[in-house]
Amino acid sequence: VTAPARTRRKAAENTKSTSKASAKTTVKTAKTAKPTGKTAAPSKETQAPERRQGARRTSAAERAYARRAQRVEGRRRPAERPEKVRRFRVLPRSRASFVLTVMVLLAAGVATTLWLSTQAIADSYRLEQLREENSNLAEQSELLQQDVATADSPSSLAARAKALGMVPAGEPAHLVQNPDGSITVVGTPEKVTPPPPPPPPSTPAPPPAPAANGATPGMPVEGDAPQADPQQADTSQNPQSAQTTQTAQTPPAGTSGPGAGR
Amino acid sequence: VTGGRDRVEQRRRAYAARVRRVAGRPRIATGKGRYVGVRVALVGVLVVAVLKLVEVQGFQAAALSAKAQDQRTTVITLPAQRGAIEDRNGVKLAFSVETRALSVNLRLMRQSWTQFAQQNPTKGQNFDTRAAAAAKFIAAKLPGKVTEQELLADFHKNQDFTYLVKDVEPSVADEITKQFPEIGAEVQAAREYPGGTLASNVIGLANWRTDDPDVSKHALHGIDGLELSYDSELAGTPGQEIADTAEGDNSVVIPGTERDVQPAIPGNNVVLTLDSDVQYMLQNELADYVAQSHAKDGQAVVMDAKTGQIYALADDKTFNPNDPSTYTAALMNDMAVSTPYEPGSVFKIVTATAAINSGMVTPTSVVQVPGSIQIADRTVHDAWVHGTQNYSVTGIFAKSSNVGTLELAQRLGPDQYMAMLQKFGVGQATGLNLPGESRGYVPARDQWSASTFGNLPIGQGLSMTVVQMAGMYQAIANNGLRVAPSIIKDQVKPDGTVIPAPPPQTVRVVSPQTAETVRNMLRAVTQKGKTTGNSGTAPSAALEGYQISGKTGTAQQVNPATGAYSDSLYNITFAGILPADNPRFVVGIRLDSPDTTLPVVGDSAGPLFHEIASYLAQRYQIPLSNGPSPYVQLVMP
Repeated sequence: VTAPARTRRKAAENTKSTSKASAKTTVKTAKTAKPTGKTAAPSKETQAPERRQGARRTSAAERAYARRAQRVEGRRRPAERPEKVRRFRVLPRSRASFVLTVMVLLAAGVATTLWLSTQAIADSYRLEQLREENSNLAEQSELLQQDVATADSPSSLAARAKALGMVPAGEPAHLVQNPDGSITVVGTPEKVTPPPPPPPPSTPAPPPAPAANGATPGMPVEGDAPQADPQQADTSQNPQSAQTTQTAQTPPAGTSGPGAGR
Repeated sequence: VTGGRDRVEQRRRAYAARVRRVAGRPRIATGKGRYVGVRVALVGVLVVAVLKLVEVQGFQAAALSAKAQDQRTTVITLPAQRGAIEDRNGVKLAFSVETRALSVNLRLMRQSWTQFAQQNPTKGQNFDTRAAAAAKFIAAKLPGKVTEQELLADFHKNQDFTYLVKDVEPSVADEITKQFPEIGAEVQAAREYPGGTLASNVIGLANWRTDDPDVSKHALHGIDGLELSYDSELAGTPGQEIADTAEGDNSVVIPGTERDVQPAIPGNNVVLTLDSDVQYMLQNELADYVAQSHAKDGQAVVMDAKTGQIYALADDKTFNPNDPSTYTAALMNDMAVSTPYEPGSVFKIVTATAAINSGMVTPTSVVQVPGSIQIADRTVHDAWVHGTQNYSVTGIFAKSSNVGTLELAQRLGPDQYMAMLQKFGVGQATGLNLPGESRGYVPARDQWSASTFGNLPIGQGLSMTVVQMAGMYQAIANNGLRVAPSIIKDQVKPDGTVIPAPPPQTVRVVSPQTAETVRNMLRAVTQKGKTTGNSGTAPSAALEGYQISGKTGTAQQVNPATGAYSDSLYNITFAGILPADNPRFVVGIRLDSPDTTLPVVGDSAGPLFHEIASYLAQRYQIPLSNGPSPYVQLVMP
């Protein structure tokens, strides 16, 4: 589609001095029209083969047609030959640049597409990662809120206050300001019996080390797999080796129990 | 010119020959026949294709697309988050968290691992080693939740399918299922009760229900307390979407295929009128007092004097929603609303109000009270031995004279008495909407025996809950207007819209003047006498700086062995108004058969009321009363 349009433009350039109408003539009119001027003739010649290029001629055929047209012209107007040759020589150069441009465009397009799709894939990975991160953070915030709610509940507050050696206050006394400005003490403040010595400050016990180690995914399975040497036992957790067990692992993975699913 | 034309001809021929060679046909074959053949073949193929197309698109279209739809689309239920339960200050008493339940299809796991072991005998891996590895890994990930031994036992169950562990955090479950793909993680939710036993008698319990065969309908539902009675409001509406999923696994959704999404509507948050601090205090004080007085159990309520809103409703012992071992019928029974009792002298407020309301007597009227009174076949005595003595009406109630009360009731007559009793809401549902709530019992007027009117005025022969008891005093505290007690303040929709609870029903019991007179008269109950016989029944309930109006009660319980009133088992009750001159709170207490021989603690709930009132006065910074209660003469010359 581009090629004829481009040709038309080229033709228009060639026939700058002539009217626009003659430049826009169809293939048929170009072929049949009597040559009207020196400048108009080459445009017809070059147009005709190029139009036919649209009908999928091989380049060899193109050249053949071009030569034939040249000969015909030569028979008719041998005098004009030199000028035509000059014109003719311009065209392959412009066609090559056209092809080059198309190739460059194509290459650029392919590169852009590749780059965009790579970008999209990278983004989708990032999106996935962020989604996971988001859900993890949401879960974490939920857990923290749970902790806050638990710590905020009167029962745990009371327990911690007690641990700090605090006791509920006794009967308070009230001060009442009389209209004349004097103060009356209502009630007698009650002393609270001193609390029993507070228990040793309870420091949160450090998490048991074995549990923390046991949680490491890369740990080889030991003890429970007596026949398996560490390397073999490790296959269950090694992604490369797990490939071999994939066939065995896959059926249970895809299935869900009667109570599973959403 | 002709020579050039020949060359062109030759070229054309050469071109045709080249084409022929490419076609690979013998030179002799005519081009025409070959083209026709190809054309016919092509048209034939095209016709066949068109026919098939018409068949598939036209005749089988509906069936095929339905089949494809079936294979592809899955209706996915979007679970709705259950609303939280909060106290009046926004402290969360119950809320939901998303969890996972880990399960394993043992049959498939055994099958695949046996197969694997057969195919790879050198690997030394089989079902047992895999199960051991999984058990070890999961136990390490969930310390304190499950042990390796328990998991191993689960893996070696003789079942096709088993749950391994529930209430697992989603991220931990993800790690486990990534490591062991044969373990499935089912989306569930768990209900958290950060306060433990705090108000658990009121809130109740919700748990994950799996009774519905449709897995998508599994959800949290209440089984007790407000979780049960407000289940539909809390539960929300699960949403639904249609999505295309991978064949054979409905959990793998093809991205971008979700459609017809009806988002889940989370449940409403229910805001209670309870104050968790007051509730905690009440539960603790009550439990302590029950322990001190060797009572079987106890119930108490703190109610707003003006609005009837319940600030705390406690049983001395209750279950812990976080500890399934406490889910016993006895502990889960909210006796404060489910178990009516005979109130005893607390109920004399009906007689007192009716007597003052009728205008027959005033608090200072003098009534001659003999040592005992005969009602039909029953002789009723006072709690203390006395001869005929003059008491003021105030004195009769302050000293809780049965004889004096019955005398006043006789003067009123049963009809006037019953009318007043009805207005106080005795024997009627409170409208609290707590499951298992009792209305109590009042014998209908036409079923009265001759001695019934000798029982009712002194609080025997009828029963009520501690909430109903506090409700009666609320009417007196609120100048004669009884407001039905409420425990739900409002509901908050997920979008933040607040739906206030419907306004409670109100009943005008008596005029404000009568209510005030009764309230002032009952201040004498907490009066400490300057001379013998002028003390009320509960000076221990008094709170310095505040005028306290209240009434004690000691009701004989029916001995289950004999079926008659026992002389050793009592209901010890107390209902009080704080402060009497500007009521803010009403407190009702009942102790079930404490050891009445214990000094102070056993025979009265006054000290407990004192503790509660003292706490309330401090927490809500209640202004002091205008001077102490005026001293009144109870025994008249």
